[in-house]
Amino acid sequence: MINSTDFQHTPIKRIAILGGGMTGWTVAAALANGLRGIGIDIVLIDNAQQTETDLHCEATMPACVAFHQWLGVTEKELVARTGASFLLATQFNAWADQQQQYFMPFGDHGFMLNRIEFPQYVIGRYLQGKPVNYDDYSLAAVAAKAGRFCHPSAQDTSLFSTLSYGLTLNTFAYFNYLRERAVQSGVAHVIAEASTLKLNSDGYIESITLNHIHGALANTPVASQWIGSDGLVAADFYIDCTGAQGNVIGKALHVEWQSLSGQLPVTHVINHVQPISQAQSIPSRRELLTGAAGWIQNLSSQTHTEQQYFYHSSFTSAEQARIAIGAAESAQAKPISIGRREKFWHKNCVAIGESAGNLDVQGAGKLHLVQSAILRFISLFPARMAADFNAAEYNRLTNLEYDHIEDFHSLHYQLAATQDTAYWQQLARVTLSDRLLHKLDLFKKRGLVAFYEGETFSSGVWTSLLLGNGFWPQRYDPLIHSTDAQWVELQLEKMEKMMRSAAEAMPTQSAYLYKQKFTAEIDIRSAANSN
Amino acid sequence: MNSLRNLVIVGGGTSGWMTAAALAKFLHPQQYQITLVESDAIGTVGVGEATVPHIRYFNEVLGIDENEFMKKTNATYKLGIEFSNWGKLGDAYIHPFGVYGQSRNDISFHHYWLKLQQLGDAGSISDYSVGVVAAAAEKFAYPASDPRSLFSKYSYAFHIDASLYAGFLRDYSIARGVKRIEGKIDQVNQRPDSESIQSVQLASGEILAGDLFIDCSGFRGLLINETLKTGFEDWSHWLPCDRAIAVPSAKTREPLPYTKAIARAAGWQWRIPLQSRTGNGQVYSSKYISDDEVANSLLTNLDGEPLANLNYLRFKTGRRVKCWNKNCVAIGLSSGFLEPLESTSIYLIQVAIMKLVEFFPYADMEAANTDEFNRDMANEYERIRDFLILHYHATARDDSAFWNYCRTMEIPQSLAYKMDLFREQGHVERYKRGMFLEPSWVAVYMGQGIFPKTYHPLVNAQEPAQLQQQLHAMRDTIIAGVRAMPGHAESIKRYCHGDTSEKSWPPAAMSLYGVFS
Ligand SMILES: Cc1cc2nc3c(=O)[nH]c(=O)nc-3n(C[C@H](O)[C@H](O)[C@H](O)COP(=O)(O)OP(=O)(O)OC[C@H]3O[C@@H](n4cnc5c(N)ncnc54)[C@H](O)[C@@H]3O)c2cc1C
Ligand SMILES: Cc1cc2nc3c(=O)[nH]c(=O)nc-3n(C[C@H](O)[C@H](O)[C@H](O)COP(=O)(O)OP(=O)(O)OC[C@H]3O[C@@H](n4cnc5c(N)ncnc54)[C@H](O)[C@@H]3O)c2cc1C
Repeated sequence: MINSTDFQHTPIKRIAILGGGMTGWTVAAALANGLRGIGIDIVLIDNAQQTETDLHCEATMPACVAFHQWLGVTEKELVARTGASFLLATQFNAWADQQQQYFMPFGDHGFMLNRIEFPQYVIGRYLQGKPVNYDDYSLAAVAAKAGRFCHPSAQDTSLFSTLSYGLTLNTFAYFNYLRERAVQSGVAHVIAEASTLKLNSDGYIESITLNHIHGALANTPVASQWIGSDGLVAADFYIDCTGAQGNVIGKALHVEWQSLSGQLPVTHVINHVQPISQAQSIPSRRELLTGAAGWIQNLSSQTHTEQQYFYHSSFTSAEQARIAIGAAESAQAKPISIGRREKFWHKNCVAIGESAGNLDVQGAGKLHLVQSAILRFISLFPARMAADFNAAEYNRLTNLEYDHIEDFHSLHYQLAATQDTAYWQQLARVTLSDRLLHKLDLFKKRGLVAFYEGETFSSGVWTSLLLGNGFWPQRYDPLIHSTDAQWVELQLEKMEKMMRSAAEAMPTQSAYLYKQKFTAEIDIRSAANSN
Repeated sequence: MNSLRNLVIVGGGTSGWMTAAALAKFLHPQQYQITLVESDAIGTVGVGEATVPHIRYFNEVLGIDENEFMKKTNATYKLGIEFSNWGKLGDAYIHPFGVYGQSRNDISFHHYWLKLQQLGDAGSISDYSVGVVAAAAEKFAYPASDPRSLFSKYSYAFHIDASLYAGFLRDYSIARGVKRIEGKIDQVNQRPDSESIQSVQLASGEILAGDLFIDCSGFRGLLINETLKTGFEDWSHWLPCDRAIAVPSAKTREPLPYTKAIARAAGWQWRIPLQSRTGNGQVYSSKYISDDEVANSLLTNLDGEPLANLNYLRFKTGRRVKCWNKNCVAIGLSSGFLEPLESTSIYLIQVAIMKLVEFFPYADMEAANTDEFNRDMANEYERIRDFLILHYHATARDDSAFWNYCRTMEIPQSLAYKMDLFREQGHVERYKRGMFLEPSWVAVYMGQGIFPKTYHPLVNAQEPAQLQQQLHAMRDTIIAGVRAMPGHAESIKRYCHGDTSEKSWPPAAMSLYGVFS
């Protein structure tokens, strides 16, 4: 047996990724790109029987666009090949009250005037009893409302340069696309079930036993390189992408799962996917609306729309939930256990995706967390498998990220709590974190967004959520009175006009995709339905 | 509508006049009355001559002409600080206002340098900093505006005569409607119900009432401390210096474009070159050395005639638990002091002013607003604190009781963690808010003998021969570029005494490392 200390101090040469879902292939493609040129071999092991091949849609943020750039993916090709669509904003319907409708764009509303942030002027107007429609000051919101889209301009004097966007992906086509890239860049793909893990005396993983190795693999170079005659795969580092099961981090390394404390907001999701007909227009927004026992997300890629109902099973049955979104009788509800691992990086294993944590998805989707995790891991990539402080830093940053995203999500429930169904009433009583309470307090009293290190959402996005739900501050920056009021009025009017006419000049998303030849080349529908 | 009207600034040192000038700029003169009280009898600390690049941003916002400012404050340029004898006796390094080399592949330069060093051929990391090389060569030029250029990756600040700067800002403030009152405050009156401050009373009997009081009264903290009894968090177990002696001396040579900080047996000595004289002083711990010993050492180490009597100062390192308490905001020395090693005081004054404007209150001093201001300021103080402690703690010196204490003292958990993280693989903890970021931590770690065990593995993606060649080329570019720069004295002459009144200087930024990004 190898001396355990030597073992832990060997440089990392072989990485095994466990799990071949959306997470596994994102990680594989990212590592193949991010670690290229330093002689690291990567294998991805996945148990095909368990891999979910249903079509889902997933909304992403501008960080995803940046991630693709980093990955070297040509967006045009990606969009055309996977049938993704462009996304400018989220439309919220009926959260704070039945009539409510507002947009949350990725970028800020309006422009700073005289060194004072734009929202202060809007709050000022509101408190003076003048009518305001906050979304009129956001080009992205106005454009998303009308289903329009164009790429941001590279010219920074152009109003269009202020746009930022995400993508709505067809998950299955997307991870197939990433798989192709990953395999092309040298990631070995083994189809098998990982069963037992062998740990050394210090708790580092030495090897992993494979069962049911896919027949076609025998005698291929991949098999001889990675799989010993005893069915063992030995790597220096393991990435657990086995989804909610957490087969490595949880079952083998015994790192505990911590459920979100307090009342769980949702326990299940059920979904309803439908193809989009040629005649339908493709929206550049996603929609979030409230249901009796949860909330509903409507997403549209180029090819499909998906309705996802996230609900709490104490307040509705799967059957009722299914009917609420008009899903087929065969639709299965999937349990969601909201929470996170006590640690994400432990010894020579990092858990990414649902094995690491499962958060609500109103703001940041699952894929966002995966992309952000893998970039963080690469920036802290260890020279040796024992790297306690890099691991500690990774865990610290991940916890920070989760904390603030959890706050952001819990605020959605909190602000919707004026609704009178039992479900929403009990969520109104949930205890909020001190961080969030301070944030709410400062906003209420003064219209400012408290800053925390490691937040995913900008103050503009927080402001949009708060104002959109009618959470108006009692006061605004008193120094706005040091600027001539008439001049301010004029600026606001100008901005509103600018946004309106700029949005009118933008094509609809459908026209844009067609004209720019972003339209899907392959038939995603058949790709998805063939499974 | 619960608005403020009367603002009273207590104190006319650097902090008082910086505050007055900024408020005069941002507050509408018809809506606010700003009064500043200062006492000729009490005077100001009168030291505080080395600045950081952020001061350029302050000046820019106020619309101040940089060249005129230099002329009026007897200023020289500052590219960084040279630390001698800190890591060990005989060592020296410059902490520049700028980055090292260029990052590539999202991996910071110092990782590449570490690898090349292991190959035995890297030279000093300082060779890859334009700021350091220019400082050592006594050159000065504005940073280049092309963000791809190595020569855009540094910034600069000034050495100034602080009392002239205060005077300059006084003229600026008075011209914009600030009312100045000379007199000694004898008594502070609190509102009976809320204990907040109602008015200050001068020896002459005059009473100044206010809605908001800004305590710029220096170490004593006339309002924040003596009246409101706001607690103080004592950090002297980590930053043990508690006294200073300062003295200006005659100019003996052309001024250097950097500050000198020379470690001594129980503290350190500064040398700050102005256009016409040099500022000197020693900062020390009274527990380990007597005033007389320091006075002697200071005078022996002067390179020119002393121009004034020795100025003895006492202080305690730490911070006010709340910089803002009730209707009183402490700015400057009244809010805390971290010792002058990295010239952070004026920066902290500036940040406090900017935050006061951002969180400008209503008359009822809403708690949420005050809390956020205090949380931000506490964070600024603590991040600087850790960085300063590192200078004392990262040492091999065992030649005096003082250094033995510093080397072996228990340090804050937050700093121990950062050091462990760096030692493991060269990773510097990242944060958005805070004055000192990665390049500064790298400068001090490496300058004082803290090296990582290894570098980021992605460095190996580059062929060693290619890496070597690139780094050599980078060094050569820097040497050649610096050679072509004008001398420091020449630049001062050109910008500060030339006859053109045109704007020659680059834009400013709230960053230590560069203005073009
Ligand atoms: C019915 C259903 C409905 C859903 N609805 C939605 C929805 O509406 N909205 C939404 O956002 N998400 C939904 N999801 C979830 C979403 O599709 C997944 O959560 C997402 O794909 C997460 O991906 P992942 O890669 O982390 O995990 P998974 O997709 O669960 O992938 C896990 C991978 O690990 C592999 N694996 C596990 N154990 C082993 C082992 N021992 N050896 C080898 N390989 C192993 C599996 O083969 C699989 O490839 C739904 C899922 C289901 C099943
Ligand atoms: C040794 C040393 C070196 C330093 N070096 C640097 C440096 O290089 N760079 C840097 O940025 N900072 C430095 N500092 C800090 C810098 O000196 C101070 O931050 C700066 O001078 C601001 O001081 P202040 O305005 O807060 O207080 P002071 O200068 O003490 O001003 C106090 C004011 O309050 C008034 N006052 C007090 N009591 C009363 C009263 N009862 N009635 C009326 N008026 C009153 C006084 O008249 C005076 O105007 C150094 C400090 C020390 C001690």
